Amino acid sequence: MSSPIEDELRAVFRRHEAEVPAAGPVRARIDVAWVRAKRRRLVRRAAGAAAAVLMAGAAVPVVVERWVHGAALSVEVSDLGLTAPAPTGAVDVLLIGGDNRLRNHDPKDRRADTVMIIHVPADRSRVYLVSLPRDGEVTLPGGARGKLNETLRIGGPALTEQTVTGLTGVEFAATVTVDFRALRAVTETVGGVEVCLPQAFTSVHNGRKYPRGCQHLGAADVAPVLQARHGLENGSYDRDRNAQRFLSALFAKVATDGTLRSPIRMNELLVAGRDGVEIDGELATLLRAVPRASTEVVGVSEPGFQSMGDGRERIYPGVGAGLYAAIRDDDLAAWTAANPTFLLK
Amino acid sequence: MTYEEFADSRLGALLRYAVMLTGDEHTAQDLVQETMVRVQLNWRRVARSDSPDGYVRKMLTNQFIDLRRGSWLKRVLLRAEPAPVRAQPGDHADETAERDRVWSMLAGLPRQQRAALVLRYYEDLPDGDIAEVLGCAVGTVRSSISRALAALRTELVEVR
Repeated sequence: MSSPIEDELRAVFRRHEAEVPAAGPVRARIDVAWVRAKRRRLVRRAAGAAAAVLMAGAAVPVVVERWVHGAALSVEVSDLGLTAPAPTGAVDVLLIGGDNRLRNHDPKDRRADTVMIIHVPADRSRVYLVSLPRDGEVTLPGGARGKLNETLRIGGPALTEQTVTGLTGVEFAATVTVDFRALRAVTETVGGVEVCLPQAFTSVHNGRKYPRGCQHLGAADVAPVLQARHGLENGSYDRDRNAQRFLSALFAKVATDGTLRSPIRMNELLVAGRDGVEIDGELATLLRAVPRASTEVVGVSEPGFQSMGDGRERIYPGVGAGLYAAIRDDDLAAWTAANPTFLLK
Repeated sequence: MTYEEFADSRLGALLRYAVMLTGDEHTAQDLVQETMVRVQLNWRRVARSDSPDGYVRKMLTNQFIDLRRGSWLKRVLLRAEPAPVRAQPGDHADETAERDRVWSMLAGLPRQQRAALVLRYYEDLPDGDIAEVLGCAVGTVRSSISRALAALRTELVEVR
């Protein structure tokens, strides 16, 4: 039963259908605007560089809000997709650390040194970094068995993401690929970070001895420390944990040194990280998903490994199913409480 | 589904929806263009959602409603912060003029109310779906529609 005013509304809307423009010319205009927007997106990607590295932290959205509310900008943030619905649930991002060397970085020839699931729970209380072993055995397209780190060379970040989703069932909001250029540049910009290494080792890359204990790491130390696995008790497993320590330290540095409150400093950071980062996904959503202020960073990784032959290893042989389910169900708080041996000390 | 397929099949409907929202074909074109560029930027997310169609309608609606964050609408339509449109007293017998009056009175409604009216009386969506598009409770949808209808009725009576 509709009232006269309702009938009238329907009639009015129908009548004005005559004013609807033809779709063809609008489509053409959209295509032109899209080309312009792609150009702008390059700028957004630059802003994404540091953001990617800082996903471990709570910092960036605070800064972005400050920008939006007024400071001078050299990066276009007005376009940060503010009309897209803000993510409210848990957010998963796949972080891939490519092994591009500083010299001779050929995007075709790279493997994934680090593969990490960054899980931000719905309550934004913590950030979880779940490392997957790079030598972990996976099924490649076509059915062959291979290593997780090969997926980056064979099919780029998209294949790595697809592989991890196939393994864990976790759907990613975005995939972020960083290499040492970005990490070096960002480390340089923040003036180095304090990292506590649990084992001493001598780098095969620069010959330097890194003692056990807390120390200052500068830009030149980033690649040697993040690449070091020879001489570590559990090889690349221990290296994964060093990567988690490094990201936590980088965040702690940025969160405490005032960078977050200074748009100028932040902008330096974003510009510094411009090269060497690829983001597949929507940056604005990522930024808005990142928790605020002093958030606890929890590293999860496997203490040992189970060999499968050919240098391949089974990924999370014991707890995998439960761990992946906990990520999917946003229940890592309970899982980490029940599995303290897997947490980064 | 690719972006091209989506645009081929849905652009016309989005334009019609945008005209009903904005009441003006040029503003509607701008709104659709801006939305579709964002759709392309975020195509992965759009395609992955349960209903790409609904997701895009939601983006477009948000963009229409959301003035506070300095969206394009603020720049384009700064002057169009809806001033109550007073219908001109006119010839009571002329039904066409009467209908046009309703159309121009729509511009005087708060944007969320207008969007709710369009979604119910043009797009024929059930209240639950309208609530989803507007990101509010079903009760809020019903109360804003009844408020909007009441406002229209009052104005019409005043005119008569």
